[in-house]
Amino acid sequence: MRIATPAALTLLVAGLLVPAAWAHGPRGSSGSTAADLGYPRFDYQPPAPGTYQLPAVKPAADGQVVDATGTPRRLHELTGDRIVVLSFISTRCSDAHGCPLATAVLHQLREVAARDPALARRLRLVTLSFDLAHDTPAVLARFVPPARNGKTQTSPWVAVVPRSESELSSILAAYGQPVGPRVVEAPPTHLLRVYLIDARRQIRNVYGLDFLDPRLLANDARTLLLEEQGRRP
Amino acid sequence: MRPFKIAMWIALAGLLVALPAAVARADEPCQSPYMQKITGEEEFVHVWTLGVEGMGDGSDKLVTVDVRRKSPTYGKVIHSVSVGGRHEAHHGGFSDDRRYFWTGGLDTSKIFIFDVATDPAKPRLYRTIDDFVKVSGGMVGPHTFYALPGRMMIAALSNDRDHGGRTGLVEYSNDGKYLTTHWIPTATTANGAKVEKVADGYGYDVRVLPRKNVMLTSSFTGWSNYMMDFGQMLKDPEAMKRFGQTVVVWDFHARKPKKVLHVPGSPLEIRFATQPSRNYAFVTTALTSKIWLIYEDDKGEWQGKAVADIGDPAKIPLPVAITLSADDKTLWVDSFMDGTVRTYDVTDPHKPREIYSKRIGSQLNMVSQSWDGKRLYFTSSLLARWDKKGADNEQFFKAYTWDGKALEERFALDFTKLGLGRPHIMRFGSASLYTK
Repeated sequence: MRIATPAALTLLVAGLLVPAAWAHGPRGSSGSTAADLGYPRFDYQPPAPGTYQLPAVKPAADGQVVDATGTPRRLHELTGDRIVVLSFISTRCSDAHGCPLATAVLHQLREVAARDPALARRLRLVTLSFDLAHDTPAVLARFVPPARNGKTQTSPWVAVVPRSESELSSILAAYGQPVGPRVVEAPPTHLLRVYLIDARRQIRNVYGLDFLDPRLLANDARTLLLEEQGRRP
Repeated sequence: MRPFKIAMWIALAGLLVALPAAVARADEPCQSPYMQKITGEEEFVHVWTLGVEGMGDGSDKLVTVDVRRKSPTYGKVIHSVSVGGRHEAHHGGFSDDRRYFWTGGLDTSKIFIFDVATDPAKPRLYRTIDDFVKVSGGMVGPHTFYALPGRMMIAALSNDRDHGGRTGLVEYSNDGKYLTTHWIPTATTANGAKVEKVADGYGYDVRVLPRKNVMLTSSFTGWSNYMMDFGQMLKDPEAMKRFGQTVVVWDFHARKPKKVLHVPGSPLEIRFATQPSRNYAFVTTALTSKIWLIYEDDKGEWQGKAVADIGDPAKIPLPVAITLSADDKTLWVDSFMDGTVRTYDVTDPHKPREIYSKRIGSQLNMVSQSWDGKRLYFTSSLLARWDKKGADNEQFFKAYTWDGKALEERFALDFTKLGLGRPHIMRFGSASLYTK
């Protein structure tokens, strides 16, 4: 949570991370794993897919956004036909407990899915920026990883940003994603949140810092897959 | 990725993780790890207070005490918001974004949600949930409120069928929508859990150790006891049999019980160690006056064992509330009957050692401490019908400093003279959470 980081420390952290973030070329996202980022380290065997329930938390809201090509999209275009993992970030957030961790976990999830074709076919990753002052479509274009990793077809990963502050506010309120005041000089403060959305556009789980285990995300997505096939615990 | 880049990431990550950890955590320890933390010192202490008939407006209320050292109103009650009526105000907890403070009434099972973000010095009642019993499938007495990402886990104390101790966990979304109920396992509904001796199905506290995917629940007693006159209950042998004697180890993510530990004497508050790789929690038993260690053994199996007495168990000091310092070295234990706080060195968690004690008042219940362990706060009330009578019915909020050797009183507030009621749980507030 960046809210707890003093300004001087933020500058120090940002100064340290910028070269690393840019060091990964035009994709703009690191590819680092959560373990690379040093936190968190989980010490348990996740429960098997389909052995537990994921009650619907609430409907996943719609909203107007643009993608990395500048094309207007609706969030419901990106949800509804697939199992979606939605992450709210700023691409210039440098808090190791924040956006870089969420992005690293999505990378790991995508790699897990790449080895599980049934999951890969049904999974879509969506990164939604709440940093309108910085994350233009051009910036997002550098962030979005390609759909193909070598010879392996991976799940699609779409980066989007609302077109206006009012549209952003509506989306944040609907999802319950806490984000602080938006300013030009720095990424907004925020609480790390990642959402799992089923094909009926229902939010089925919400992940925070101490809960963002890519193995849990993968098994939760597989649980939804099994549910689609009529198998419930 | 080339090795150099990987090494650089790891080095940077180590620095990045270490630095925020040093400055960001200045909140009360032992709270939900999923919850946003205060930076620096707490500014306000919110006290969920039971109303007393004929005292002030007679209603349960959230009282806010100013603890900003340089404030002109330091040490004073600066705000109070009543909810109307007496509901047996007891415990409460913040949502994960810390914008809302959820509190429960053990008698009426109503849930009162306060907005503490708009003006942290002046919380306002934002919403009341009055169908908890109906939607949860018969849970009664919403007790512990434990923040999870985007949702609230509530540990209940009782049920609406027999008002006994059989109960469960209830989940709500942050929006106040009921999600699901998990009954605490019994012998006939163990749900796959391994039972050490008994499975009573009782509930009280809930805590999670995310790193191990372990959730623990403890066990108190049902509505028929906690709403009974204390003296009358002590004389009722059947009532005295209706106390919990279990701690349940759960698979947190699956919400499935794995093992029911036998912890006789009503184990109450659970406090996990904070530091990484320390896989244990403390709990104290109210009736048997012992500190129990709930820990993962060398084989990865969770176990429970009594590791120390609290005072003289034969005198039934009735330990009620505990807090573990952020460095996991010091455990504070409040006991109600003798009004005393005892301090234990728990550097070796298997061998707690009492290092200090102090009588805080004629009766004593809740304790909260700051992350640096230098400031402690105490309140007096246990339950409306269990509090002492006459002159011993002191109702206070007291603030102390701890220098590692002794407690020194900073200020005290007499909640009776102030016309407020019986103060119970305390939670820290800070305006700095919402302005940066």
